Amino acid sequence: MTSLLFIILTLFTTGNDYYAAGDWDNAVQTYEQCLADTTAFLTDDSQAEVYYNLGNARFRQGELSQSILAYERCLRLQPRHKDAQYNLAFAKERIVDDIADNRTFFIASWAAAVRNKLTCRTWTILSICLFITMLTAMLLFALVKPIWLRKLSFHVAWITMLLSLITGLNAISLNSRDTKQKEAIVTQGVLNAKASPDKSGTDLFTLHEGTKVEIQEVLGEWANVRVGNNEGWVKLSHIERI
Amino acid sequence: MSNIRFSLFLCVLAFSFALKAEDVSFRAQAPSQVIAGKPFQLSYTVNKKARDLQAPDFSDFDYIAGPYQSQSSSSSFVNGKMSHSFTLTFTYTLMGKAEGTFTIQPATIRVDGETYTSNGVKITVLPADEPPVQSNSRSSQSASSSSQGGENISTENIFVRTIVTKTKVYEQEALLLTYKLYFAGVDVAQFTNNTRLPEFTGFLKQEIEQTEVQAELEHYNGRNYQSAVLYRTLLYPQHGGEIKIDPASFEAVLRVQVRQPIRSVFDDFFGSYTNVTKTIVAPAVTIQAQSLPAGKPSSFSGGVGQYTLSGNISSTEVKANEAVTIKLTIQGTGNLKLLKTPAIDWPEGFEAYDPKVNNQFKTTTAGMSGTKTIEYLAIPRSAGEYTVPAVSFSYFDTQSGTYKTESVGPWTLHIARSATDDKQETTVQNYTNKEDIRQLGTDIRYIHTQDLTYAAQAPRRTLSATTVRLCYLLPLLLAIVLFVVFRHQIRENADIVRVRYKKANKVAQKRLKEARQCMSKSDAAAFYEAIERAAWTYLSDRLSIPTAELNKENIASILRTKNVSEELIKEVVDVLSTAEFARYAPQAGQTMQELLDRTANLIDQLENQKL
Repeated sequence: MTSLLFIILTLFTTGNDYYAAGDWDNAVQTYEQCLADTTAFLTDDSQAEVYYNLGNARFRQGELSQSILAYERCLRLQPRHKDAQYNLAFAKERIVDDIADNRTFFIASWAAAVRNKLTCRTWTILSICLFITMLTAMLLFALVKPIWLRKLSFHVAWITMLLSLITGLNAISLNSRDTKQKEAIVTQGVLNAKASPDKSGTDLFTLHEGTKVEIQEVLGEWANVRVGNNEGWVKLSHIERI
Repeated sequence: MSNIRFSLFLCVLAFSFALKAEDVSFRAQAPSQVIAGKPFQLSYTVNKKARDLQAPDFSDFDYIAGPYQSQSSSSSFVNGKMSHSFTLTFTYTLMGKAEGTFTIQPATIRVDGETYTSNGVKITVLPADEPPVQSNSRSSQSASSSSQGGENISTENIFVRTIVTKTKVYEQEALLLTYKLYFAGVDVAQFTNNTRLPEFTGFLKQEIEQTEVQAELEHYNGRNYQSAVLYRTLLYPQHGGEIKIDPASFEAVLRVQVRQPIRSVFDDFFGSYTNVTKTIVAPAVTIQAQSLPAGKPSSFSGGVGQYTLSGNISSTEVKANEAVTIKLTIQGTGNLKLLKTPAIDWPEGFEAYDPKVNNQFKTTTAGMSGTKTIEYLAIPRSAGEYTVPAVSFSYFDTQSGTYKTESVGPWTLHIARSATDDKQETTVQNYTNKEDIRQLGTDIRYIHTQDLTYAAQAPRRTLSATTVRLCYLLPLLLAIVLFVVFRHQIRENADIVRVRYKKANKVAQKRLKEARQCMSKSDAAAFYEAIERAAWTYLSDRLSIPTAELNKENIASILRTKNVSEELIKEVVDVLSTAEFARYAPQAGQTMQELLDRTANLIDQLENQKL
């Protein structure tokens, strides 16, 4: 196991050396090999670092969609990775599509932003801790005699109950995102979304490389995707799940 | 004299040397059209001294005379260089027997011991002239003419025919119009510039260039004429219906013999001919143009005729920003000039340029034919797999009378990433709509190079669903167990404070009821005790003060903190002290009824207060 670990760490540093030398192609290859081998051993944070470096190398290669994919995967593992956030935003500047989604209410987008600050695991653990705190506060309320303590525990109980619920919901929604893999990135340079899962379908709208889409339904080699307010069918081979 | 002879000898010598250097040419010559019953000459020419001419069989013709031999030689100085030519001609006189086209087989001749063969000759024998028609009936095709000169120039002797290849054509289908001059027995010296051609309204005109006018014999309406093509043009009707081509007029200068008394031999030789100008009118003609039938395909190009379409693509595997060229070639016969260029529907992300058209047309009597080459250039701006749809080209086939569609493609293109190292180049194009938020001089942040941390064991990426459920259920169960275990204490806790508070009024009312009963029994001691207890218990419950701490001062201060009015506090203290006092020293002044009312009133008022 140690030898394998050694290989992984060597791959990472080799990739960094390639990157420093400006050999993007080899850097990408090395990072990808590193990721293929590491899944079991590296911590989430470390794996996120490899994805971050891969994203940089991809960006230098000019592979916009692949670099966005790598940054997104990095942020899945480590949502508070500042540099990945910055570079992802930078890469997204280059996407042609400007998606206006007037369906989401500002509170919803705000809630989504909060949700994406932590991983599913963290939210789950937080929710459980809050739940236990709530139970403790309820017991305290029932058992103690001093009025102030009873009042305090009563307030703590309802607040923690609410917070536990919110964090639990966050965890559930992140879990469904991660397991169902609904989000994907357009990898094809220019892509026309069709009205039906068929080559001859009417062209509905045009998507450009790097745009994030939400997969609603999959039918054979076609996927029904939603982008902003638009929905259309695109080939699965033209997009890649995060 | 001897000097001249010598030079002559030298000349001949040089001549014979020169001859050796040249190639032997042996050719047969005869008019291509002859009239039956009229003699003509067939000559064989050789450029060297020759003998043993073996003439072919003249069985198709009447042999009249020959061969007459004649020879000529010449020498010339050009730029100081002397050149010689020598010709030996054998001439036969023959006569056509019957109408038709005949071939005279090649002849052979021997030059310096070698045998040479001449070319064969094709001769068309036209029928002999019919005796002149006396009546005035003229063919509709022959033109009426206004005679300006000699009366012997009749329309039978000279006229222009309007010849069209077809009178029923489709719209846009080519037809050939020829103005042809016929003359016999007159001498045409020249044509003046005073030629008036019709406007050809309703047609697109494509003239056929003529190099030189050559007269040839032609048998027409029973007579043999010298004929010459004056003007030829291809016409493309531009609309359906009857289209009339107006008459054309030509002006010819004829040489006419002047009838005047012959005064001398030289008169006849020099002065008996004069030039006469004559206008010849070619008749009008009407063309029936048929409109193209309904059901034009959407890709109809306007083409009428016969076409084939072929196309090729420069490459199907290119890199982004590298040009792709599709070359279409339309080949055929018809109204090539009016063909619309087919459009190529390039996929999104391709920058298409205006097509480059190269026409190579040839106008012949059969119509316009040639090729139209169209080059479409497009530059893919982003990578991926794209399909260029098939290009269709439709035309109207005049032979079958139907629309035909030809198509090439589709082509599938694999566009690879641009080879250029500079990543900006591929994306710089895509900035346009976000220019205002682009940050200049910024770049992505650098990679992280610190060592990776790793776990000895595979970290759990996600918590399993059962773990999560257990994490919720176990504390919940524990809590429920604790609730059950401590349920007595919980109930007690709840009773002491809450229930007593809620039941305070009820208890007080009960006490007041006892006091009323005591009053009716006139038991003063019991009555005051009941009143006192009612007041104390109520205040104790209501204010959650333990009985041990009950005293008037305590109550007053607590009531004050709860914002109870000073008046009410005073009344509470008053009632309490009255009841206490009366219990031990009953007063006559204060009736039992009065105290009961005051206490009930007080409890009512306190009940309404928020405590």
